[in-house]
Amino acid sequence: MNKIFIIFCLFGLKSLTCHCQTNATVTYEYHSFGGFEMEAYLVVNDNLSWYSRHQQSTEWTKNGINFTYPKNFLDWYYDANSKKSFEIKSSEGYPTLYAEGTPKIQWNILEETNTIDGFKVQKAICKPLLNSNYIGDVIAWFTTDLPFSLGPERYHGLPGLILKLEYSEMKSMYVLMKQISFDENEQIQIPEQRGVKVSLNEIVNPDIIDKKWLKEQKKLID
Amino acid sequence: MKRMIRVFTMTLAIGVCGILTAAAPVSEPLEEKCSNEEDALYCSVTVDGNTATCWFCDCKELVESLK
Repeated sequence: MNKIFIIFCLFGLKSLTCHCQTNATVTYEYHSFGGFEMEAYLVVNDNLSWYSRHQQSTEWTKNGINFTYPKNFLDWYYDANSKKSFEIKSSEGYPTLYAEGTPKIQWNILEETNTIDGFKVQKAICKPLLNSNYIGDVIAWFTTDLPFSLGPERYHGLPGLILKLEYSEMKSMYVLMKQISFDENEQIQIPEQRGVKVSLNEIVNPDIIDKKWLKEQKKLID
Repeated sequence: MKRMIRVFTMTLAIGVCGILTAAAPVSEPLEEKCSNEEDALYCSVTVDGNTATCWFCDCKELVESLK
């Protein structure tokens, strides 16, 4: 009887170590219209996390439609302790942009569930951070089996890790978890050089930034 | 003759979109100007800085094909 109890305890401990890791690297597949696909990464190191999507410039034609994807490097850092975040963005045609503050996301958690890669996931909806007439609402599928209140593309604040992020009106655009690894040695390096400081809305939607002001700010930094 | 008309129309379309780009306020990207016009010669859709464009196409069809 004692042996059975010890075995149960060991299994319980193993289960706890699997699900309560504070260090992890999540690899996501980022998909966008025109069949575009690349990898993005979410690194969690204790209370600090870093989401990076480094898109290189590319152009192609498909069915008479020309697709132009400019260089767009996005790095989003989040401190779960202070609930503060900052972002650095290097996009083609723009100086490096930098913004502090955490996006306020009003989630509506629904009853609908599904399974992704063996994980039971639940549906949640919110308004998009991107200014666009085409994408509709943001749909997140999160799992409480992985207790990181994080996700891709700056979306966070749910009771578990977001495994899939999609848009209600643009199904070709989505981010899906490809794999997760628990790596004790993964460290997050916060860069010193940050760039022109803008607002959260401006860094997500740089088209709205006054170009004249941006040019002046870049001169000041240089 | 047909070729000349096509070249002329293309040049005109480039000019129109060029004027729209120059005239558009900073807060309104080009795609909002072109894609909402039903019989536009040139359509462009941009989301998160990534753009899909086509010439002599239906803008609504372009948006649908991207979904």
